[in-house]
Amino acid sequence: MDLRYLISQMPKFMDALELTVGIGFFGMALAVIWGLALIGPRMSSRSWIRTPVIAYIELVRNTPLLLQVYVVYFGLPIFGILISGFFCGVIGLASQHGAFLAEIYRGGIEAVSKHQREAGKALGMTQLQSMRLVILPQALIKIAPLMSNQLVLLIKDTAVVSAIGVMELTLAAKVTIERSAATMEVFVLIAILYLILTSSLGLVARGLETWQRKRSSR
Amino acid sequence: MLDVFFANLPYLLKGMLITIEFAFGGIVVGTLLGVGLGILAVVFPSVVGKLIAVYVFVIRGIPVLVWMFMGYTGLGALISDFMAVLIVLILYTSAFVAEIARGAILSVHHGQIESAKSVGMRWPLMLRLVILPQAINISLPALVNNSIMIIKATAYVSVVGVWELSYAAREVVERTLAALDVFLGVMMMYFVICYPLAIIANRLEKRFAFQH
Amino acid sequence: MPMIRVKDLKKRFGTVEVLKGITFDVEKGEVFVIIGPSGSGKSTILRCLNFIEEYDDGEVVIDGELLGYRLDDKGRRVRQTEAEIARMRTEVGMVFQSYNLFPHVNVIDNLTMAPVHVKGVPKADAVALAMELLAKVGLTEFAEAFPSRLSGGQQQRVAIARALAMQPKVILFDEVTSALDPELIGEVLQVMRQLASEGFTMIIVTHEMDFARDVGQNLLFMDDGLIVEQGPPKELLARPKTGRMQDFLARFHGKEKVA
Repeated sequence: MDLRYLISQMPKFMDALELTVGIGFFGMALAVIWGLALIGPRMSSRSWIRTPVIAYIELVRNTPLLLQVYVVYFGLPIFGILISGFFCGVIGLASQHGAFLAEIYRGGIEAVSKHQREAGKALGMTQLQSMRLVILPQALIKIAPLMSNQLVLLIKDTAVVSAIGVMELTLAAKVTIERSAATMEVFVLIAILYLILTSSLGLVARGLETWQRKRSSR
Repeated sequence: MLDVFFANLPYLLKGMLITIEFAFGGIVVGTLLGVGLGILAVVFPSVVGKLIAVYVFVIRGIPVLVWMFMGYTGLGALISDFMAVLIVLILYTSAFVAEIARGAILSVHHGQIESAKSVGMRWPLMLRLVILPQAINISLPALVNNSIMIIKATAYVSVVGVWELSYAAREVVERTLAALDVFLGVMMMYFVICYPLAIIANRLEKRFAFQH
Repeated sequence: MPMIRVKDLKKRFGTVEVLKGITFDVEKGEVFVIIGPSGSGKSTILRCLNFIEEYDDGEVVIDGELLGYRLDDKGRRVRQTEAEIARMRTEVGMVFQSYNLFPHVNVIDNLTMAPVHVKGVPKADAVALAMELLAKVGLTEFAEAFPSRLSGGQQQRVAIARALAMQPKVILFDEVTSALDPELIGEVLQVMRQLASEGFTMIIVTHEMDFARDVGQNLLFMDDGLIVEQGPPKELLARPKTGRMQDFLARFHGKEKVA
């Protein structure tokens, strides 16, 4: 166990960790928003709006994230758009996880009883008002644990950008191992770092589950 | 538009074959292993159960790509690359299936176990006749969804350096620069396998919804 | 002018015609009761009166205004916009069989939500009115509680207060005691009696025959999508004219509830 070598490489790993967290954070934020943008059209009564959105969601959910990131990374330059690997990763993550979240949102909204919608209607609320005041708050309570679970998956998926040269944790580990013999040490280090990331998010998920159970005691 | 894709289709199809081998091996063996672990975790909750919980926690908490690097670098020195990443896929699958199986077994209604006990059944018989049949029904949608996840995960072996569909796709793109054609076409190849499974999972979920 | 005028109301669900041409008037301050067997369409009528069900034919006129539709310049019927329908609903209160209180907010917020967000009433005024209404239904001490803490009867009383908070012109009651345990029905009927005595225009679908007889001023007996009998409750319930109503009432003999 060459700890000294490991310690000397720490700054690099901390930079890489920062990138991992950065991609995760931006990816999740964008995914939440993208998912919200998708549910409206997804649940539209007009099939010409609904169908393309469903097609996109199913395509993105049933194909490897790696290929989707490749499409962004190798495809955009064809149109003259050049963005960094970091943002390609963020876009790819937001696109796929946003689609998953849209389906989670949809499940939550549909689970809110039709009666609640009627009560809002009877009080003279417009569709938008009943969504905002009655349905979405209740849907959110139901789906909070599922959403934080998605965040755990997303943090793990940040590893995909190592394939396009972004120096996050996974690539940093790969590169360090190739340069030295400290295979064991590096693996243990990033294993621990990833476990810290995923388990702390997991704790948040567990906490939300408890909060949800308390809030929906009916 | 997709002529580059179709021109290279034979090459890509060979890659798809390898992908299917990985997916099949990983899913079948991994699911069997996972079910076994899940049952053990329920029947012996104190020691074995805790060990399995740690196993599940560690495997699920680390990206599959990292596991593949570890497998490829570590095991890959001793056995072939193909076997190394296949073993990674099997173990990765088993961790998820263990959780699914454990959850499904535990969610079989308490009353079932009580009535089984009251007619004199003991654990092995109870498991075989009462619990597992119902647990299988309950867990089917999750197992199918899990399989979709594993099929998608096979793409990561290309990053480590093992040749299959995604690796072939990147080769073709780097040669022809027809990124959109080829990658979108290859995405459709994965889609054609995964989407039917997604529909099956959906139907299964609806069919067993009444159970809860 | 009657508060509510219903003319030849028709409604179908798919291929089934649930309302086959219903006509009646409800005067201001009247307590109008609708009874009938399950499937007769009585709840559907009520739900057409605030356009939660969109009726297919006929007219519903509320205080002189046509509900749900508007006549275009060619004299053809055109569905009103969501905004117009929502506005009309603020004048018609509804209390549901399953109370439908909002579980994610407490009692006071349940009462103030619509007045503040739909009518634009300042929060302080809405809260003041809400507290008054809670006192009226006897639940002041539960102002900060969440609906899940309340019994069925208490929740239904809050639901009535919530409908009243919009200060509607008429209140619809859709079998509001049918989902309650017997011992909780009384407290809800008591509130309804009080509202009646205060001169509210009320349309009540119910199975509580004693209540209908004591408090109702006009009674409708429905069967199979049509009005079979109509008149003062005391008369009709004592001397039903048709065999169908006689059969229906016979099922309630010996089941008289103490209200």
